Amino acid sequence: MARSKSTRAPAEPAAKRRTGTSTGGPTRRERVEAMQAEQRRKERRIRLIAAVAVLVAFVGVVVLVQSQRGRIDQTAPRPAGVTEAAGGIALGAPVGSGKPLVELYEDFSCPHCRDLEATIGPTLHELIDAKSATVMYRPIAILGDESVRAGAASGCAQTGGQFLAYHDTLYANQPAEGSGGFSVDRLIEFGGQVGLTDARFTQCVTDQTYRRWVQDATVAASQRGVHGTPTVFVNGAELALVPGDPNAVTMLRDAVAKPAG
Amino acid sequence: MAVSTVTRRATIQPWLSLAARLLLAGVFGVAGALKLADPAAATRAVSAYEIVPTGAADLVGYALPAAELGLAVLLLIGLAVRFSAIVSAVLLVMFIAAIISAWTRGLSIDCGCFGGGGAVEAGSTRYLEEIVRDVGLLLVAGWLIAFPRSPFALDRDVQPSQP
Repeated sequence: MARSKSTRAPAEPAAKRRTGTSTGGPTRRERVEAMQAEQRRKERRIRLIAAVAVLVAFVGVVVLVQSQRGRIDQTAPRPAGVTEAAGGIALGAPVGSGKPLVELYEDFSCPHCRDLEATIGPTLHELIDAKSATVMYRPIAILGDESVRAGAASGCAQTGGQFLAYHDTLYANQPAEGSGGFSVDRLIEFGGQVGLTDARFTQCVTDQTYRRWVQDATVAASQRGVHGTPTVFVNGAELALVPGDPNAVTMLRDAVAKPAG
Repeated sequence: MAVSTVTRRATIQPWLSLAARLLLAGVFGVAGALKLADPAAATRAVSAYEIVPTGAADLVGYALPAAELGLAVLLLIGLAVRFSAIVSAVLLVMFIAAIISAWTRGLSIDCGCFGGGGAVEAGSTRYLEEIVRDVGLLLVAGWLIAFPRSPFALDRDVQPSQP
């Protein structure tokens, strides 16, 4: 294969050297070589332009497609009582009642969420039962598809009127992270444990009716600056609670007791 | 002049460059594909760096994986290899700078280099590891910028053969 040795060294230097020693103008061979060098340069430029064009076009198309996917779907089905797209499930005092608002971003597959639940769960239950605060659960999915399935199923439980019991059951049965343990079958089974035995619940979990709601909630969370779970907000201000830290309960109670600013 | 050494280098260099192309293509291809699969995670990973504002994080989260995948394809087929290597190097320098920046600001995040990303526990960051890997890849890209010529590349095939 007698290809040109390098794309980086065009033929000119050699041509020039020879021109220097020859008496007349460039020989026929030199002119041919110069033309070929010019041709190679041209092709290299075309290749570069083609590469840049392909890259830019590809990036452009993907950005368009992805931004379509990343948009919050205002018409996606929402669990009962959820008033806006990608909204949370509010328990305790009604929204707008003037009571403190506790928001909890959580992922049912996340071990730290389970730990935080064990730490502040009873306090949240108290606040809900006494209607002394609005506790808004915001299930999101940052640990893959089983988080999406579990979050969607929790929405089904909300529609079935058993959100909190189902929520606690999910944590009590949390599978090892990434094991795929939150299968549709298991999620239906957990419903049975809290009295969700009707066909409507089964169908909702199987169809993953609220799948988009969980995905949109995840996007909305990210837009709000929530990069991980669990994340707690009290009256709109993030509260840095450490799962398992007994002080977390005091911190939460103090934040709730503080008049909303 | 040690002709044999020059010849040996000339023989080995194209194959090393081919290996460099394939390595970068593999890494960028996997990284891009994993991120494209979950755009929400990609934008979350970008915003976790707290460098770009939220709207721009979305754009970066969408565009970056595409650029990575596009680069992987260009490197794989060997089209505009030096250009692709330069873009790769620029991306890698940006990645390294972003990770160092996150590290020095005391953030606890995963680099999100291969999907995932976002906040992690304070003790489980892997900044040094991530930087070392990216510096290694930067060296590979540097080699390719210096020696873009390699077999099985479109860059060569469209060239007229010399008599």
